[in-house]
Amino acid sequence: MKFSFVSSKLLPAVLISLVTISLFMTFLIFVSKAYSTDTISHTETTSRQSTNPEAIKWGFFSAALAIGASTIGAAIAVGLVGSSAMGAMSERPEMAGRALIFVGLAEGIAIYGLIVAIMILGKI
Amino acid sequence: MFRPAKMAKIDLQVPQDYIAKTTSIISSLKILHLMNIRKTRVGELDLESEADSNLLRKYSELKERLEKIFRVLDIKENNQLSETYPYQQDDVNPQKDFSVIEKTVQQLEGEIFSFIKAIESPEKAKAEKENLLRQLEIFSQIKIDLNLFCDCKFLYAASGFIPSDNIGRLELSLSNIYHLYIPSTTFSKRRLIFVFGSRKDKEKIEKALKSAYFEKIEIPHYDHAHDINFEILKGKIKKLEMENRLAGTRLEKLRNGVEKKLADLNRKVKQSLTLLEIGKSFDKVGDTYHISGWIPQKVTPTLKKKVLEVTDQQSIVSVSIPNGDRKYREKFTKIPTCFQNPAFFRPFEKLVSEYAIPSYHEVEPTVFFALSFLLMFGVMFGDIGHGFILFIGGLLTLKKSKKENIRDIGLIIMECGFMSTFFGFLYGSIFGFEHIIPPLWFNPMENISYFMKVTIVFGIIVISIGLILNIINSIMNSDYKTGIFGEFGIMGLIFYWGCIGLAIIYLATGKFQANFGYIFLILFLPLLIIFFKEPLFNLYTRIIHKRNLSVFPENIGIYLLESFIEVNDIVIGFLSNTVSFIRISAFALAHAGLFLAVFALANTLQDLKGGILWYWIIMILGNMGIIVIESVIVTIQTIRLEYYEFFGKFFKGGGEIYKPVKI
Amino acid sequence: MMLKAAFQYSYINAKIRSLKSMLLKRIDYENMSRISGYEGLVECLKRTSFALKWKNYQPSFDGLIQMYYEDLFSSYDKVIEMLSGNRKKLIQHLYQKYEMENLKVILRIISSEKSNKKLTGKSRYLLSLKKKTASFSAKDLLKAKNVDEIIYLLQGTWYGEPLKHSLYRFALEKETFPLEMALDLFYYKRLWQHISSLSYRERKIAQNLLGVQYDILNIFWIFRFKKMFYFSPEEILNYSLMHGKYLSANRRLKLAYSVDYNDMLNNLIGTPYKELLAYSDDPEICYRKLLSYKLSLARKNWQGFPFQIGTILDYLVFKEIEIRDLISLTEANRLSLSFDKVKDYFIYNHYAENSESTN
Repeated sequence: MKFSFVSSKLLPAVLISLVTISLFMTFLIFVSKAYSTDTISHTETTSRQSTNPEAIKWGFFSAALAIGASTIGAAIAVGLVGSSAMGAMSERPEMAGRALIFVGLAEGIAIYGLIVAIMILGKI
Repeated sequence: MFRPAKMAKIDLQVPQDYIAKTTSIISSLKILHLMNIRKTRVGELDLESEADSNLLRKYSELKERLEKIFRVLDIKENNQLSETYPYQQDDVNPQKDFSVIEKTVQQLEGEIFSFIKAIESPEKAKAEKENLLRQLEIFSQIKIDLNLFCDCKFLYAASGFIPSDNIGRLELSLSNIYHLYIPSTTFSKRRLIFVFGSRKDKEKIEKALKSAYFEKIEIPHYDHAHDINFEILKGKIKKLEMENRLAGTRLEKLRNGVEKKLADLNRKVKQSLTLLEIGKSFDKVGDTYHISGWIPQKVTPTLKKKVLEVTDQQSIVSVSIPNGDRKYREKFTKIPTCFQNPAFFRPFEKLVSEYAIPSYHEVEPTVFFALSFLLMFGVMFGDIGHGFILFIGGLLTLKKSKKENIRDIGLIIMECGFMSTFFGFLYGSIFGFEHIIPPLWFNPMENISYFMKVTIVFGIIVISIGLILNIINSIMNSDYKTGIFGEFGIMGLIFYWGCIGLAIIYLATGKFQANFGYIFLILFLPLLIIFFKEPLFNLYTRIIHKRNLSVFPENIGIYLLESFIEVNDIVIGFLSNTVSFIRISAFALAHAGLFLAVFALANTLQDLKGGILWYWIIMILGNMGIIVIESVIVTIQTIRLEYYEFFGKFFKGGGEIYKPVKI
Repeated sequence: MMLKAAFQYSYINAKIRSLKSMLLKRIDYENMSRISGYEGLVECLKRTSFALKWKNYQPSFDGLIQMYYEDLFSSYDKVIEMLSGNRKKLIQHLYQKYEMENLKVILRIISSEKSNKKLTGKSRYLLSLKKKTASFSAKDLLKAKNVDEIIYLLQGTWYGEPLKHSLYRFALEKETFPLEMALDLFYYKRLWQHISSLSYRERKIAQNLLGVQYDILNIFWIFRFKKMFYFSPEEILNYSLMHGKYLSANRRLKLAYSVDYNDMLNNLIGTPYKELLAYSDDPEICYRKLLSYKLSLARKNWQGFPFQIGTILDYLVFKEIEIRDLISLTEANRLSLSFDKVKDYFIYNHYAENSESTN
């Protein structure tokens, strides 16, 4: 049976990817082994900086505020960008890719707020 | 499973006597995907069949006439008729049956329309008489004797109706002429006005009034007899109303009589139209019809056998398998994509198609999509009780419903329910009670940061699979620019894993410290290569393929700026995509949090009178609410993660979906 | 407040701008004006956004014009679909202008004594309004026997009312002029009502742009009734539109009573129309000159704050003028006229003389 023209390239493609993955797995294990002498306890000491109740209270509040405010901003942004993207895409489907990238940019704003909140909560 | 089904191109040449039978056998087999007529060899020569488009137009006219009959008789076409007179598989030959059908339609039309006309005239007469009644009523209210105006010697007087909109214009036009204008009552958007002027200006005023659509009233003669006029009019109107009602019942009888014939005709015309529509994709050269299409390679012998059988061995069937022909590779003609997935993954094909139809030349991502979807759903929705409810719900939908779409949805719900039960066991949560069963893995509410790390690792795995699939796709299609040098190719993969290595170093030691060689080789060099993606690729083609291409593209400044922005975009993009997976843990925690809210509410209400009843009502309602809200949110978020982070890396789409011909 | 406008108009603005990007550019007009013959015209068209619309049209000049009109109507359809409320009604009313033209043609056919009810000329193309948005079906109306039946069939739409009120004049005079005039006057009054139902800011913008159309029509009607029909000033005033941008009631009065062409021009001092009308004697060319003034107004509106109704109205003006120019070009091509003789009939030409930018 004749193989179709694409399957002849499937095998080398899969092989190359497997080789690449295994190379990097070994690299990572090598890297982490080289630094495994230091224990995880380092992370603990660098995290807890204060047990001041005032700081804890304001820390919770600010984490919530960070997420809330960034989400509102992201909501407004995605709403505007999304509907404009829809409008442009309906007439020119080739702009769909670009348009969705703008939506992704707008959505990342909420993620930034989340990261700030996590960092705050990590330190209290 | 990972690639669409292998297709073969089939060309049929059928003599015209057998074309009706061939069309019906093809549509009943439901395996042939017709090619666009312009792309076939015959289509390129611009030969088209003319007789059939004539017939198609005649049948469309017949369909319109039938629809008009339905409208006039007030029959709802689809529901009532198809229920009382169900579908029968007829042997319809559009060409031969046309004259018979047309004669019947004409006969029916004659019957019905003459009947309708008989009903309409009393309706119109009634409307006229009612109008006259209203006008007389108005005049009886005006106590002025209108006959006075006819006898003026020096004045010109006119009274009549003028549309209210034109009054402003009339006043403007008469502003240079001496006149007196008295408005009166309004009656159906027209105002009764009186205009007076001098006899000298009579012509000018009359011209102005005429162009303002002023309708002079002829004054009816009033005497005490007008009271009798009212009564006579009202009596006539009542008689006309009774006639109308009689006519209505006669219409009912007529409708019941012709309903069966109409249903029959309707069905025949619809079938002929479908067959002729399918036939539009066929070409006719001389006496033979050419049909070209695609079928999966497995079923080629079946179609060949059936067609030859139906046409008494008088047709030619030729099968060809697409190879590396340039016109297929460069997508001048698209080979349709036929999914071949095991039954468990089939409902997910629809969700994949929503993003784009996989092209024939790339990996078909349904399996990866399904597995990651189910995993993410399970993680976000982990609860034994809720998962069980979803499972039962999906099972019932699957067994009970008749439509294909609803059955697919039922299967997805069943699988999601199964996964969420599985994760419920891992979390140790049954209907929100988290301390009855010990968790097999961990409890989400108590190990938040561990949970987040787990989801980020999951995200890294998903993104890496996306990048690997992109590499595989590019190499399969010999597109080395994206595959090796591109930002989602091998260089991108190296950079991504390098960043992850750096993050692991940070977590292990608490500082960003690494070999200089590591940073240069793993982080900086791939970015540099991605930055110079196009010149490097041009260099590669120059050396390997010995083609004379300029190494740098034309506007160097713009190219450098674009590349710079692209590299920035990639770095931030990878970070943002990975962190985006934290939302999985966020929604799982939200699930547990909703339970806390429901428990708090139920506990508060337990202290009222009849506490136990309230407790269980709140628990049941709360659980139902959580299932509905959370399943919608979780589905949307999972699909968003899949489409944007996973598919965005490798899925180009652009295929044509396999749609076999069927009636 | 700006944010609210942004939310309302984000989709609309993006879609209108992508629609505008598909309009013809100046270079396309230039190419089409210098080409000769049907094949050349088709080649030029295939290089523009019309390449996607080559569906079921007969390969002839008539087919091309049919395609232009269908394109115009599909643009209107798209704009109407994405709006809601008062704005939707306004744009629907703008679209119904073409329905009104159809109705006038139908009335002319029904009332004529000829036995064969055939359509000729421009009327053929216009009867292609989409069924979904049409208020009446042209085919049904053509089967009516007299004007009364047409009025009965038009129940439920606003066309019936002006026809009803002018029916008595039609019975007297036996011509369709009063019916058509009544339709026009009613249409423009209703249009002004729709404009007035918008919010304050949007009303100002719409009145600015559409008011010019009222002025143009007033000037031309007054001119035509004076010169060709010899109506008395009172009649002319009763056939004029009540609203407009520069033409107040006083000015209209003076215009109607003016004696000859120069007098009319004198009465227009203070409006931009005076210089435009002095360009030529031919009324057709003057009409196109005034339309190019409207186009330049629309273009000025196009820049600036994008989240208002101005963008929608501007795009519709662009589209209408594009289709007008295309039809002129096709007709010129069909009659094989050289470009220099007829260049005054193309609106883009007038516009280009005043500015450097391309379409």
